Amino acid sequence: MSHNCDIVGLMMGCLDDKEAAQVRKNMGSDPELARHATQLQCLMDLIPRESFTPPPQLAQRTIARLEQARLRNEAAITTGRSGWPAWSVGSWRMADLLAGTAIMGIAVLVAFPSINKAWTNYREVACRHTLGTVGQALNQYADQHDDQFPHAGTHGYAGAYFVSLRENGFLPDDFRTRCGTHDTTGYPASSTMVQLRAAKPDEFRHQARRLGGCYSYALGHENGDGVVHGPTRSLGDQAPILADNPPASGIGNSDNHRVRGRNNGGQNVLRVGGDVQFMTERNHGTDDIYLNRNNRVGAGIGSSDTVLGPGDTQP
Amino acid sequence: MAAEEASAGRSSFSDEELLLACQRGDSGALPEIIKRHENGIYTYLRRYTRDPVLAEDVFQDTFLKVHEKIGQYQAGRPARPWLYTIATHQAVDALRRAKRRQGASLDQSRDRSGEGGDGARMGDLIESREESPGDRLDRQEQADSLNRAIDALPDLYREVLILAYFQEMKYQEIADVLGLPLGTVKSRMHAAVGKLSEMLRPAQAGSEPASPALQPAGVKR
Repeated sequence: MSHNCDIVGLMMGCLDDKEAAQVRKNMGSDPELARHATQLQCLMDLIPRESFTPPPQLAQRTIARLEQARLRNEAAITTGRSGWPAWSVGSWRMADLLAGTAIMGIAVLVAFPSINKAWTNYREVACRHTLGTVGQALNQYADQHDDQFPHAGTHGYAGAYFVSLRENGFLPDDFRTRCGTHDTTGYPASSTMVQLRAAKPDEFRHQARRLGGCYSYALGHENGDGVVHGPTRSLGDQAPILADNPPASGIGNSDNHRVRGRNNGGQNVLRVGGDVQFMTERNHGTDDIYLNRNNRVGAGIGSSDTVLGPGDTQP
Repeated sequence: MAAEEASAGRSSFSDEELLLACQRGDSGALPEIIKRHENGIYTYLRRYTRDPVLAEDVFQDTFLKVHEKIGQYQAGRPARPWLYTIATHQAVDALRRAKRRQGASLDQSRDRSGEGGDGARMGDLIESREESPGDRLDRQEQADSLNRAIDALPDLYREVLILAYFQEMKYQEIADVLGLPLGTVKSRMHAAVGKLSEMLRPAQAGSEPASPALQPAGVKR
């Protein structure tokens, strides 16, 4: 701090004794500094240091207000009713907390549609990715099986396709047939097709349901000969082979992409050619992808009748 | 009788002891503090707010706040800066509310009160006083001019000047009250005096420069 500043501090009486002594010593050896101090003192002498007289009874009135506040607080505590001080949390008063809560509430309300929409979009994209992976596995399988896709047979369950893909190494062990957070699927590591077929019917069905997860697989078709033919590439690239499960109600679009109580979503559909498309209608042309021409969940009636069924459905 | 004895006992307490007594639930301690600081804090608020009515309200609010925050007072902390800190915060809040209510800038009133007509005086006053003290200018008028100039200072300089000059606080106490580093307080004080000089200098055109002690902060010498 310069001598100038120290002189100001000295003249204002802001310095402690040691500092003041030092400045005085400096002034003693520097006449210019002493002159400046004198000028400053002259200036300060002109500023009256008088105090303002408080209004009458200011202290008494303040004490009375304090007493009233104290009594109000006591009454609030006794009756369980809270005044401002009792409601305060740290430096926050109830009004602050209410305002904060209201702002947060409004922010959530404003943001909710966006968050909901973002979450719906995320699920749709994640689901599409899963179907794409299964599509690659199915085509790899078909490459090695004369263009035939997995088929559990006339008395098998749709979900068994998954075991075929895994047993052939086309899907990783930890792969799950789930859409978004729908975690209804678990793949029992020890299960093989042989073990599944050896299981009791109820157990087989239960496992098939879990294996199918969120998706429905092509149930094949029959040509009136009592034999169910599995899906093949001959159905054409655009034929559906895997899609989101049908709605539990049986009516409308899949529940996997239902938007808050309104059945106006749709379903992702994997085509034989490997494309995945989000369809807002459940039809492939005029054909309902979840029902055969007899309006049943079962094998299609003829090769052009594609029907997709959840894991525990049989042709 | 017992109450009178207790009151007499309290009068020998230091401010710090009274605040601690208040913390312990002694309902007579805070009134004692109020009485002791009635003049000091009212004068401070009167200067700070420049408004006698507002100063009175803020004075009462200050001690209500002291009552509310008494639990936060830490033993060993000087009482006076703690009280002035609360008073300052209350004054700042009150001025802000008043400004909103009136919809008029306080700066305008400050500008009006500090209308430059009196501006030239400080340098003149100093010089003239040295030449012929008290002969040429009326002291009361000079004092009024200086008071108006102080009122027209920016708040950050004015509050330091008020605490130092009128409340006679040490630098360290001012730093505690305003929550500022010691160095900042010192530089603001120097700047406040320099600014005061600057505000009063314009009409002294052609005369010799103001005292070096009154140079604004930041001016290298």
